[in-house]
Amino acid sequence: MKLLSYKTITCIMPAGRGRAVHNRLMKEQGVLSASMHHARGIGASTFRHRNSLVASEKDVLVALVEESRADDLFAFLFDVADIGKPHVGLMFMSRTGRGHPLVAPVELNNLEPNV
Amino acid sequence: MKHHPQEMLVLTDAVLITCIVQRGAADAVVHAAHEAGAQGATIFHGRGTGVRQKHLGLLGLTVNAEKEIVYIVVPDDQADRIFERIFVAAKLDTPGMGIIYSTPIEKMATYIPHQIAARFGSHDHRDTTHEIA
Repeated sequence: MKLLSYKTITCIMPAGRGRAVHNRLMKEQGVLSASMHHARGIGASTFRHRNSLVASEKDVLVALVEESRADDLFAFLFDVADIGKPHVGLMFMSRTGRGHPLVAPVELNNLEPNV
Repeated sequence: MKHHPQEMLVLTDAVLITCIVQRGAADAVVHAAHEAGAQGATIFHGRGTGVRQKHLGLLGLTVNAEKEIVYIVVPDDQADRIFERIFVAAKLDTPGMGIIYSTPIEKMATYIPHQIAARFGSHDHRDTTHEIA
């Protein structure tokens, strides 16, 4: 087991966008250690009244990445997920303790493209 | 059309507060965080396990295993205040109500309006990265 340093990048974006971002991260950057889940998000634009919260659906992508590539992958995800646009979401990166990435059982190039 | 990478403003000195509460209690957490100054929150569902089956609640049934997990990203200097407000609002001193913890964030990025970015010396060059502490 290689003892490398890892970081986690969490990307919160509108529902429906996560799968495409996840696929591009996997295919273009070779990062397999990522998972995605659904959430509801409440932001500055959705706090309407004191006692009512209007939530919107979100996809949350969490990726475990090597420290040496973390900054590049952060910039990649920022661009691919359009985080820099209004009302899209946010992303953040934090250091992890020990970690081990997913090792692919098959060559990714042999897989059929996802729909 | 040539694709220009977006300008990325990187924010440092942020903290992620994660609060895990019983299903239905997340809105109270979000309200408390908002009143304490948080700008947003992300909520998703989970299923908890632990000592509840033997030690908590009537036959272990009064503590709901279905959980809501709340992510709140806040500035470093407001983190303690927001953390305490959530702790009180969610009654986390009561056994079985939930847990809360904060994690330092190395860097974060989101949309920052141009007027605010300009205050920090950012300019219009689109393929650069700026850091705001």
